[in-house]
Amino acid sequence: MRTAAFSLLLLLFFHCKTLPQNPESQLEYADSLKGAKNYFQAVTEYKRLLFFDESRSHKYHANLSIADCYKAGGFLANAGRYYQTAVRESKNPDEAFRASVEYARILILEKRNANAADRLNLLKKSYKKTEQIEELNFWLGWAYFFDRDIENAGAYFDSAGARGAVIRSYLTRYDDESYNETLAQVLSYIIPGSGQIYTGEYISGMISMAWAAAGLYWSINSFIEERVLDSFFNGYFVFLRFYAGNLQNSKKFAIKKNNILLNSYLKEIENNYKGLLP
Amino acid sequence: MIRRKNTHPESPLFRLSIPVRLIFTAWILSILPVKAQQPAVYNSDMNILRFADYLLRDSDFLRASIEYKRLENSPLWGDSLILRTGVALMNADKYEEAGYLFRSVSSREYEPHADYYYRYGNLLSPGSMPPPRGLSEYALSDQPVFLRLKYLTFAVMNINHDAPVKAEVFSEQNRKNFLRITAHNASPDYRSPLAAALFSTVLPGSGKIYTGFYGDGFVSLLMTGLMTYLSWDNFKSENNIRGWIFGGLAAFFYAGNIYGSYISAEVYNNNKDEEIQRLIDEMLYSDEIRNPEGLEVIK
Repeated sequence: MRTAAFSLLLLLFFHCKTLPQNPESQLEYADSLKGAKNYFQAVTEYKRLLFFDESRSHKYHANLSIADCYKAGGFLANAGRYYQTAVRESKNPDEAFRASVEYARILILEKRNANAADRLNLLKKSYKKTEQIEELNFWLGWAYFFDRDIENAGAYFDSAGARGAVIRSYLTRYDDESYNETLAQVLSYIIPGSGQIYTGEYISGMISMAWAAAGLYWSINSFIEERVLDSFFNGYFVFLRFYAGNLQNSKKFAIKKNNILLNSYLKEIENNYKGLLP
Repeated sequence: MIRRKNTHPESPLFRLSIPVRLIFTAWILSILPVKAQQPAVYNSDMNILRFADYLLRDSDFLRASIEYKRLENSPLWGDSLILRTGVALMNADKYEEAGYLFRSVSSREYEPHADYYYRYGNLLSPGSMPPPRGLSEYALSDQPVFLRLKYLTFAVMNINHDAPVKAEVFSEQNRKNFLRITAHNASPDYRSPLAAALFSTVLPGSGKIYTGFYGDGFVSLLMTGLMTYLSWDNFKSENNIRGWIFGGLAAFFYAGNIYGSYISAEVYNNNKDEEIQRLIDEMLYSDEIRNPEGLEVIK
């Protein structure tokens, strides 16, 4: 009987040993939920850890993981908030670098590209390792890419090592196929409607050309007849109206068509590119 | 009856004595890989409650409501927790579920809270709460907390009598907002789109001046007049092409001015509605209404 009781106690001891009683096991549990893509529950458990862990030893990891989960769920503002907290809770430069880069990626996703570029450039002043510089250049490339500044994006992807090379090849193809927005506008400055024709909008280009020519003719004709007021209003309401419209349209059409092209490349990148995306 | 092989009395395990069997089981348990699980202490009733309260204070309402609901079968579950769950659910836009919880509160201590938040939820999302159980005694209460909610409800429902007296129950900013809302309700400062269009038909630009767009009004008057004059002048000097061009421009400005005046009246009215809605929202989400003193759900 005594042996049986002893054995039962031994069994209970082993059983209790298998039941985790510390923050590490809570962290492990939350990590397992995150690993299983149960992001909502994972956030709850990370928050529970932050609330109960008096040692505060997992604050960086928990905040970073909460941000990851929010990001995966599309809650970008919340993700950004927790990445910033993770930066504050980091215990070494490497942790601070990781959280800061993740925050910059959120800024890119939120289309706050200028803010992302500022932040990444600031990080370049503090982190000098080749690998870190290359990673920062890689995300700078993305920030400029989403800002449609293909020239700068290309330059940064060029300085991003191997990871930038693949994206650079997409940009080169885009560069070859896209319309030159400045050229479209310059053409329209010289011959109204020609910028639109360059972007493939033939009917709109011809209409602009015809109205601008008619307005100019009527304006000059009135001036020759010494009807200055007629000349001014013909010039203002007919010629300038269509001249200004043609300038706006040539840029608008070039941007619109380039956006369509850019989106098709982004779709292609999303489907085929195996590396990291913002 | 199916008997498993390893439970047969003749199997080697059953030939061992009970203590040896227990030790063997303990050894097996200790070497098995442990699946990640939570520390049990984090899931004691008191700790779930502490964590839920923290989430509620941190405005993570959906998670707070889930944590509170884990205590449904615990001895801690009672009107206080039902109320907190309801408030968390209401703030997570789950009005119907929150409404049923508020209705289920029955203790004298928490009945005023539940009644208040039930009616507050009805104001936030009219029609989303379940129907009331009956006439609430707090609807007749003269406590400032209940009066504020009642008067704000009246203002939203466009019942505006004695507004200056009612406004006294509110704090300064809410009082100003309340008076502006009730003044607007009593005599809405709208502009008639048809009248604006009619004014502009008679005198170009006057409709826009009527709706407060003074600059646009003067420009409309000037351009329509000028184009009409140039058209008349060109026809008079037998330059018919230019006459038609300016005539066309005059007609374009004239028609645009009538249509623009109609739209400007609608814009004016929409701006007024948005302004009043903003004032109502400011009141609804003010601390005085949202977390009224004396009716806090977490002490």
